[in-house]
Amino acid sequence: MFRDPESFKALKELVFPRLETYPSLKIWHAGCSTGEEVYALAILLSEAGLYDRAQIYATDYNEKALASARRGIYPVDKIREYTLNYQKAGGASSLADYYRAAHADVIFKKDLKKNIVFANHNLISDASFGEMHLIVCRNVLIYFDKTLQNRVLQLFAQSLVKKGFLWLGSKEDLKFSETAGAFTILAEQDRIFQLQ
Amino acid sequence: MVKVQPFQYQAVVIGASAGGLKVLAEVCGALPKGFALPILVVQHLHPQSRYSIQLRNYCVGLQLKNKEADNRELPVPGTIYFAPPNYHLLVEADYSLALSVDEKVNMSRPSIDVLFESAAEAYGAGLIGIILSGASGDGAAGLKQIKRAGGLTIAQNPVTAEAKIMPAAAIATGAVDHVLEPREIASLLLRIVQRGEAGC
Repeated sequence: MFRDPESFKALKELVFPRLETYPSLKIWHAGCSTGEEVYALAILLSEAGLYDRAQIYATDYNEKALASARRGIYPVDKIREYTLNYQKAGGASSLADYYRAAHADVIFKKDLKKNIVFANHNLISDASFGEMHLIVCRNVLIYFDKTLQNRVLQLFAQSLVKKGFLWLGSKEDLKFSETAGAFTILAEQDRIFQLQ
Repeated sequence: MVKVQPFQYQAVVIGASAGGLKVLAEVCGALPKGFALPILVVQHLHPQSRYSIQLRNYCVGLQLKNKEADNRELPVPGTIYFAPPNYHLLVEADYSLALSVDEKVNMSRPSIDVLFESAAEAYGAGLIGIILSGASGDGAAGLKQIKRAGGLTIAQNPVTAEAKIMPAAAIATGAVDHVLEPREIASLLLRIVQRGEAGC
């Protein structure tokens, strides 16, 4: 959770104020895997007062991962790391406010799930997801070859509203992609881009 | 006397953990600019250290080029590629580098075993694997794979290591060809490469 906390912080500082200008928000977390980072984003949105106006589409092609994302149950031994990351990401409260402990697990609270739709979506074969304000796709493109990367990035460009935001993983870049020209760089090291 | 094979090598992989950075700098520092092989390194770091600062400080005096590995990059000779913090570094069958955020292995990401095992598969007998100082068992299984694939295996002499566990674990597998002090590691690498250039 909160992998690359500095980048979460950058998202919060650079992108959230601009998201605030929309009355309702659509966010697509593409390739959400087992969901840790979806909940991380939900927490920061909620602390910024943006969660209630947001609809988060969290998608993955792997049903097993999605099922686990829906549950939102994680081993308790990871919580120390998550808590440290949460603090570094600029979390405003205490991570423990968002989960309850049960035996060897922690369960993230229902409140965090209410505006998240977990759905199966295959980035390689499925169509655009509609007018998003923010697309989060981190550490998914690293597994794709150049051709697929280009196709997926095009899909993202088509799925964003004008001036919408794209957040990639720290080792992923638009630089050499066919879609690079469509975006401006908002935070280079944090891989935050904005559609022109 | 250390037996040196005819030049057959295509890459060097190095695993280092606690106390390893200093040794890494010592070994790589003795290698000249344009050294004939690419060097791929997993150094266990804190997952949030934005590479660089710590590593770069150690790399300041190096004659070799050094950088954080990029996904799908083809490694070139004379350059050190570091696994980015919090990513596994792997070698693909076409020798390009790959990054992954898969589960930690040996409680580490990057994991030395992940690099070594994938590199052994890609390079076969063309690989040199080196385990330096560290307080973990990571790398032992990978070094064994390198040996099995016909590669050359080296461990830092634990006596000279700040943390002995990692080189000792590697040696305990019985798959280590040479147990050497840091400066001997560098000179062995140089001898191997020079032999190659002489066409032995």
